[in-house]
Amino acid sequence: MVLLNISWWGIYIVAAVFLQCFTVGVDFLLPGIIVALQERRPLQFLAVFLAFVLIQEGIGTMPFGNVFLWYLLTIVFFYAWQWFFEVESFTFILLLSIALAVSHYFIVSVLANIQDIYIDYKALQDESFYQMFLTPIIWHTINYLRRGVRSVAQD
Amino acid sequence: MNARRLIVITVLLFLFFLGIYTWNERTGKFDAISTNVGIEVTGFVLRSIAAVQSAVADSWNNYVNLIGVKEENERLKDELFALKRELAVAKEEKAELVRLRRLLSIEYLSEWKAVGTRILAWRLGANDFFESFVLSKGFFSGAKVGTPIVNADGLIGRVLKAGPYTSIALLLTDSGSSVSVISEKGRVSGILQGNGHNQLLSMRFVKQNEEILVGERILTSGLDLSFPKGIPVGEVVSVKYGSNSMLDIQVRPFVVFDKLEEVLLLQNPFEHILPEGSPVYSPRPNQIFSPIQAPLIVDRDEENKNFEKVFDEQANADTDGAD
Repeated sequence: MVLLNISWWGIYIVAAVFLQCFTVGVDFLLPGIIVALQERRPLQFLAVFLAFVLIQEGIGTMPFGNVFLWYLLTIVFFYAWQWFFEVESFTFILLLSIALAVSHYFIVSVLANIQDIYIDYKALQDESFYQMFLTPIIWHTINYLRRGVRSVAQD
Repeated sequence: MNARRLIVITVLLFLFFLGIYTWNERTGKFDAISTNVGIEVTGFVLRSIAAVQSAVADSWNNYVNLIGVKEENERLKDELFALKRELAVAKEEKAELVRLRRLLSIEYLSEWKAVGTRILAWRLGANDFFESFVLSKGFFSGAKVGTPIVNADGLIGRVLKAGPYTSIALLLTDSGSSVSVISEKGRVSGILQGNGHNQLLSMRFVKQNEEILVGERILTSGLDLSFPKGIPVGEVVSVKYGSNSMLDIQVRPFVVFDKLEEVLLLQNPFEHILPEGSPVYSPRPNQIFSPIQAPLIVDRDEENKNFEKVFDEQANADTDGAD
């Protein structure tokens, strides 16, 4: 089971990195964080969170902090939103995506200002929009693909 | 989870972030770990995908796409013959050049060893806002932070982050890129800065009394100790009077960045004895910097005429004043 789970996340990372080559500025690992939160397995979440932060911070050109803070906010939004919606519902994911896209714009803007980095705000705005539209779709896809692993875990 | 607990967790997470952020600012350890792990994982994935793509493409080329090979072979033989002849002439000229350079004791680009590398991917993920690409070489294979990147057309940029076998390059067009340059004919020095994707470069800190013409080639000066002297960078497409007694010069890069596939990394032979070069990324705050947004296509004749007109007017005014 553990091996299957590790393999699943490994394949997900490969697919996400590959897809990121074709969609500039979109984080394909973020929906994985949401799925890991939904499964409520602390050790798995910790491992996934750490791996994803290291990958995105490592491959990014911005100084450290953006992705780390963004993923931490994902945890906060996830627990705040679950008061109002069922965590598996599409409305929940849609609202979470909007909140995460907006927070991405603000985190990058604020940290870029702090770190004296010039960024193209129009591009940042566009990329936040793409993230907002793509997150529910990716989440839906990986949630569907995770069913096999979950059913093995239940057996 | 109740509201109070959520607030406590939020505050704790924020404090945790601030702790890690300041610790990393002080030590740079998280940056080092994430650079090595993140870049290498991504590089491994991209290299594997590139290898599969290449294997599939090779199979296709070898077994399926054999039509016209004979004709192509004949044509290539003719080309090879012509090139061999040119090479023989070039060898003689090169030998002469080496002798003359030795005579004049000029350090030149050929002393910098070039290592070829492939571009694995362009901007990746939601944390990449620079003009950059991922290279398939790291600090174990010739791509250290600050290593200059060129191709046959000219300067491309420098290595910004390097993992063991994968690295990230900062392009010349990024607004944080600065290169010490010199004009080919007038020998006017300045700093060349990027203005963003598909935008012209700006040559700054050139006084208004300096003579620099539209169409003139711009080369690296080597003064910043980061690049070898004499790498072609671009050509001047417009010269205007700017603020603070400086000229506002626009330069079009020779390299077509969107079509790059393979590049060369230049290894500094004097790295161990020379002081460290300029930083790869020069911060330019949003509040005081707004890039000059100018399209890459500029009517050079029109610009030349305008510039000559300004010079003529100035010359006439000087003559009138002298009379």
